[in-house]
Amino acid sequence: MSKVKYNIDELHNLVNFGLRNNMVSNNLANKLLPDLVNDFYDSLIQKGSPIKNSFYKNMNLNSLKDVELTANANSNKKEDWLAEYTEKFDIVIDDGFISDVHNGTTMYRPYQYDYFKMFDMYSKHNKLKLYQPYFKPKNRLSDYAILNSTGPVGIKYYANKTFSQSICYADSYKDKDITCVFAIIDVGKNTKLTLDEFFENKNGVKLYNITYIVRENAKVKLLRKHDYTNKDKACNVIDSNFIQFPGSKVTVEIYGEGSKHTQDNMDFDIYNDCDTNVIGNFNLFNNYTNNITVNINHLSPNSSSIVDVRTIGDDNSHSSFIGKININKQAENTEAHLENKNLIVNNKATMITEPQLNINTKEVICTHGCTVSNLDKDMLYYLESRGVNEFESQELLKRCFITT
Amino acid sequence: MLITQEFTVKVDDQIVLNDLNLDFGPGVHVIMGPNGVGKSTFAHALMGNPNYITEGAVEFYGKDLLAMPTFERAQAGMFLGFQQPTPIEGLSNFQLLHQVLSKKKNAKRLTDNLSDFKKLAGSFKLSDDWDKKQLNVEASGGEKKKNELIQMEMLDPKCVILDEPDSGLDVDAIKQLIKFLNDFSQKPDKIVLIISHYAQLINSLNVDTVTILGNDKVVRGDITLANDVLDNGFQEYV
Repeated sequence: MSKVKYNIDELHNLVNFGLRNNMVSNNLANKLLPDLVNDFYDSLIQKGSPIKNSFYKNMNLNSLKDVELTANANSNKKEDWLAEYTEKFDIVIDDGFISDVHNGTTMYRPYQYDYFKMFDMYSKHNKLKLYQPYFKPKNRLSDYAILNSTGPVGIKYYANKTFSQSICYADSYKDKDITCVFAIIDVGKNTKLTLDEFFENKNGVKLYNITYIVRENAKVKLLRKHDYTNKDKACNVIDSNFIQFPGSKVTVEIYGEGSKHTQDNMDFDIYNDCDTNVIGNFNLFNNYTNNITVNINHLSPNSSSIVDVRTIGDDNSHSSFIGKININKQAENTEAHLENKNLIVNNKATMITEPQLNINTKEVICTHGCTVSNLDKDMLYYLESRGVNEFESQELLKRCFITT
Repeated sequence: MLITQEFTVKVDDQIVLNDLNLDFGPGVHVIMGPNGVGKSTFAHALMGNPNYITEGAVEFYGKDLLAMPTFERAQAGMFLGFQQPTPIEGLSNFQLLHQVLSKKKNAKRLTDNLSDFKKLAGSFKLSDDWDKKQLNVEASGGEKKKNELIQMEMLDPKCVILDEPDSGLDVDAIKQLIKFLNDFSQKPDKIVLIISHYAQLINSLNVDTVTILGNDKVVRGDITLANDVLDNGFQEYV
């Protein structure tokens, strides 16, 4: 196949032209996930490029649009690339690829264990069809993560287990083409799962569509770390969909410093008797961009959610936050709290915060608070009066902002 | 020595203190004056509070104090005990001291500093976990003042300016404060400036000078001046 240069705005043409291996052109994908492929492809044709979606209005998309991508670019993939990950991670996922690297083993095909099994399109009895109802096109960039991926990968954690694991979303190809990750994390009933996630930066663009299916009474703690290295040329669009079955609990902690362009967009569909916690801490500097959206849908009664996202903006950095709480008419006795605090250290930094509440029943407790503030001059003076220099005083106050 | 020459302090172009020519050697110096005359302004201006514009000169043990940013003044040996110490959530009482003490030459080990801190806190009848309490957060006025004294003792400055250190303290704590200040001022080359109108405190210290800051003039004297003011008020002096 010939090399073709493109940018993110032109990505939809590549699906039509079939220049890249993708879900539309892949016969197996069409066979295993026919409804999903058709739905997403139809949406793409009808709605066009998602770049124009008002969802991105605050996100400084120019930092993403100006990245020059190359379809069918030369790969710099090393033969033994997986070995680099064996010490730090249990599982490595890349575009259409999933592998266990635990204990130094490198299984190049998904494997089945006592506590979990990994799967991709080529796995026997992968039951991918059953997952189709969980996917609806949103006219977002993450729709491409599905359509342009070389196939879904996933992990099914069995019921009634307690388990801890780490996943690296790697950059194995190290090429100029876009990386698309379409992942399914399925957590069985009553299972307690702690999952460390690491999103490795690449010199280019990575799009993720990760769906977490958290079944009845399961408890999931997600510790998500963005990559603190190679931020200057890295663009990451991470869309996560959480489907919480009754009685389940999900806690997400996210840490990052942004990058050339970072989005971490989380959508939660929460049914009855669930708990949801989202905690985000971001420290931005240089000209890094970080955009967070948290969309909480309380669909049934007796659930609670807490969102607490804090960002420090220094230098010419850009941050945006949209927090949305939707409470259905049926979702009585919901308790939802949304907080976004921003500390602007340098007046050249841009920080945008937008809370949105859509409450359709009376029997709820719902609070929200979004602030953008400067470093407190009295605090700085107090610290300096004790002999802490200006830089260290600022750093101390930043740490205090994040930790309280 | 702390010497001010034609020291003028302004806030937004408005003169608060004008042409102060004062000198303070090692020993205890009481500063008095009616409300609003600028006693706290004097203290904060010496410490380098950015809200104040200063003119003239201030020499501190041969150094040009006004040329230094606040943290350098502190590192040079100046210490201001705040009238209303600033609360900082997320920073513990000991963390702040550790931040400063760990950078000093010949710094003690962390555990030794923590042990000293706990002893001091105990002597002030502060809680066992005072080291972990957030700085000036959810503390009473008296506790905050005691914490200022702990900081003062541990940082061991050359010159302390205490802005109404007695306010908020109970009877026992006042006695402790007096002992604390007498002990401190007897160390060599320590300058102690106290802004206070509290007779018991003033008369319990070995006061070297008393300075009355008035609206247009400054009157200086010894302990008898302070007692005259305490008996008869400021009318004659401002």
